[in-house]
Amino acid sequence: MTRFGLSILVLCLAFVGAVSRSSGQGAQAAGSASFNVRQGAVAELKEAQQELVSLAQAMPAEKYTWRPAEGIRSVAEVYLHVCAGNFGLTALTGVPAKPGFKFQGFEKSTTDKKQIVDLLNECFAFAENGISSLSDADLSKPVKWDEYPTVGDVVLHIVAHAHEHLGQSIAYARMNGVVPPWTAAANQRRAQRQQQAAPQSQAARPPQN
Amino acid sequence: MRKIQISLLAIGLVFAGTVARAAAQQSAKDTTAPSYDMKAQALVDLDGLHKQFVSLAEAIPADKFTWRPAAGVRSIAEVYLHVAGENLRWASDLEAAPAASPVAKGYEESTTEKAKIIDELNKSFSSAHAAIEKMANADFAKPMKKYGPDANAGDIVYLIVMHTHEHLGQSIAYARMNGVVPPWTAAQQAQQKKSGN
Repeated sequence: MTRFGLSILVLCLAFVGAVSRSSGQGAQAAGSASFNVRQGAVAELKEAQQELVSLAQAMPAEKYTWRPAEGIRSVAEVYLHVCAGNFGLTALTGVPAKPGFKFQGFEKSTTDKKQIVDLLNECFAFAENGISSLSDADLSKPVKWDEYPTVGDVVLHIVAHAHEHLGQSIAYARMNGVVPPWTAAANQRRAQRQQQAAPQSQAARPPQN
Repeated sequence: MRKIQISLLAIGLVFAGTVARAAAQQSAKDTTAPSYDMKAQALVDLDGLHKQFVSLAEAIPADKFTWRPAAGVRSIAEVYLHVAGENLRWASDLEAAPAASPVAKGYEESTTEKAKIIDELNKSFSSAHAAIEKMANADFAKPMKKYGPDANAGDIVYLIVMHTHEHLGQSIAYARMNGVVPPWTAAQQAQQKKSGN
């Protein structure tokens, strides 16, 4: 074989090797952990916890029994419904259940503001710790629930459930003249900036939740 | 001798071509097993949200689209368009679409017309679904620095789903305050009544 022939062969083999390596790297990146679902869930839950707890603290105690219409959850019942989801659904993922917790009657178990704020903190911590303790392999395990057939699906639902009722709670607060604390803080910062930048101009504020 | 060289060259090139094609196919199909396929459930959730949002918007009387719980807070129409706008924007970012935003400034206040808003909701949910559906497992890890130093495309998928859930909860409360029972709850109640529960 001439040098030319050998060179061509070496070049072809080098090309094949490079393609195989690059393909292998892609497969590894995709297969090992393309996206950390648990980490995302815990981050989203922490955000929901912060907002829901601060909203519950901002709601006057006497408004905890307010509801938009007969037969619809009150302010307190929505907060406790979120807690029931965090306690009950997290247990479905296979982590040890909260001792003594039962879905039935939980939402109507109290209207006491302090107790409810404490329960909100406890139930979010329970869900966050439970989800953090799951392994990658746990996420693919089946769950006996048609709509959410795997542990990973239940994890997504826990987060979605908390966010949906956070949105409902924000609307309830607004109906009772309560501005969500993070919006109030943002409004204050915006007002200060406007005052510093141009004291005479009053830019229109965008609408909020 | 010359024939042997040519044959070797041909075999080498054919082999290299075959390997390259196989690698490309593998990459396009992305058949690697993810630790958990979030994409499937995110799409199921998003499709459910799409149905709920549109059916709720359809159930709200047109003259209530300008209702808001207090001054300075988004109206019913503005909440729907806020959801639609963010779906369109995030879907465009996931697809690495052109730098120009697909949502014009003032989009949330651009209309209060019921039919137009329902069209926008449909369009935006379809865009978000299509953008997520196109993602391969590896795409979820793609950095999205616009959203933060450690943010990736998976975070944006999370954001789309959670943001929509939050505003669905808000929209249901808005509907209730206007005496509108969410259609899926009304259907459930009718079913229960029919079966005598």
